[in-house]
Amino acid sequence: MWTSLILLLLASLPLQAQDCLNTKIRRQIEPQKYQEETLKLCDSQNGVHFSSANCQKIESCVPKKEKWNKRVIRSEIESPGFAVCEMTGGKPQFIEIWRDNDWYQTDVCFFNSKSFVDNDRLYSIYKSANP
Amino acid sequence: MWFLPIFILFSFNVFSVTVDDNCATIDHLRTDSKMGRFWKTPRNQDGMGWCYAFPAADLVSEVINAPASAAYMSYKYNETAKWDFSWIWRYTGVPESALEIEEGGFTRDAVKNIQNAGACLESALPSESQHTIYAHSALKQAMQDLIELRKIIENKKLKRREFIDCVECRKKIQSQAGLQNFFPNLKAEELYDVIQANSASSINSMIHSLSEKFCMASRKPFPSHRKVQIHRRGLNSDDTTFALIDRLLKQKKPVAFSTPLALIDNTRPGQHAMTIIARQKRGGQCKYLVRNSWGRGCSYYPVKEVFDDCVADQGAVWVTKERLNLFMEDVTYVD
Repeated sequence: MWTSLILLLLASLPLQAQDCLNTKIRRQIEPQKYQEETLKLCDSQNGVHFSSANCQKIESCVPKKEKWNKRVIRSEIESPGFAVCEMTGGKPQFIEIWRDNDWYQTDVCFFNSKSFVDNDRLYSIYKSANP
Repeated sequence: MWFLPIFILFSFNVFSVTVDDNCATIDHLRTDSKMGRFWKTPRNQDGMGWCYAFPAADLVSEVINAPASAAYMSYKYNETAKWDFSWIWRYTGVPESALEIEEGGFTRDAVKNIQNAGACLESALPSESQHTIYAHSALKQAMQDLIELRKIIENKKLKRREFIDCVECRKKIQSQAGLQNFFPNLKAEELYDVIQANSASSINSMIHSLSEKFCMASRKPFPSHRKVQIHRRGLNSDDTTFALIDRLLKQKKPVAFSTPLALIDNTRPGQHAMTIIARQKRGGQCKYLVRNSWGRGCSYYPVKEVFDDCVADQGAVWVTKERLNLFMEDVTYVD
């Protein structure tokens, strides 16, 4: 039994390492002032969702759901991902990710300068908590 | 004889949507060598109610063959808007400006507004990338700051030089959580001139004047032979719309439309505006690629059919012709 557990653990390690890669990101820190840095970015679901390495376990970054400000998303007039990010106390922001030799724009929710989750993933958590 | 009327109705296809059996792929916009990247990049309206301005910017972008600023189209629209049904609950916290603020709008009017003056480039007045904070809060802050700055100038009778030296004023002008968020590198002297020129105008007029300053250098003329058109239709009404959409897509023209949110999100009420940019047969069904303004991702689409055929990286979803026919309202395009 122990052998199979160890084997399972060893088998999962390379997968974990593959999921998080050093990635160049660019974001605006002030109007028209960009900061470029290399961060460990973790993909999940084949790159559909991603986060900073320290937010791979979402619970370590996103405040507990009961602490979320329960304001209602203003129906049609805003982007749902931005609304949920603001609701959790995060700061929604556009960032650019260097992938396949090109900058690629996306929107994420920052909880502090190094901790972020993509808004789409955050919204899916919100949705599962508010079916 | 009794079956004749029914036969006639079926002949004219009154009961069903005619399916273009071939539904050959039409994907000219995303494959364009110059603008393909623009059509494949997700748009994001942030916390703002300017969903209509993104399809408007899409229509104009095709016309000028360069990304047009959605933000500018919204500021211009707001400047001309005379009323807003929704201000009461949205802006009660903003003194003086409550009656003047507009969110929500109509794509056709937004395009019409810039036909004479010309379009503003996204690079001159970005609609997204400058937002380092939640834009809706930032706009409220910017408007409050404008109101207060105008009062300071009036009460203290400040001259231009005095305004530039005014520490309290500079703080507001340089606030990244307010004016700078929308008008990067805004200078005190520029703002003073705008406030003076709009001393009796609405806050929306001031914001519009500021946007004009930012766009002045990069104005792109809107060719006079191109005209914005609207095809009015009721929900689930007819099939002529699809012949029109197909024709436009074949001509490499995007198609904007208004719709109840239920098209893509059946959990929330409200209206939305989006853009059709391609057609393709997928899984045996004829589908249209609908470009949204909610950013990258798919979790925003609780409707399974939409979620299942979502293009996460492009902020777009494939929607069946039948579903579009059920929910699509007025169609706006530039011919």
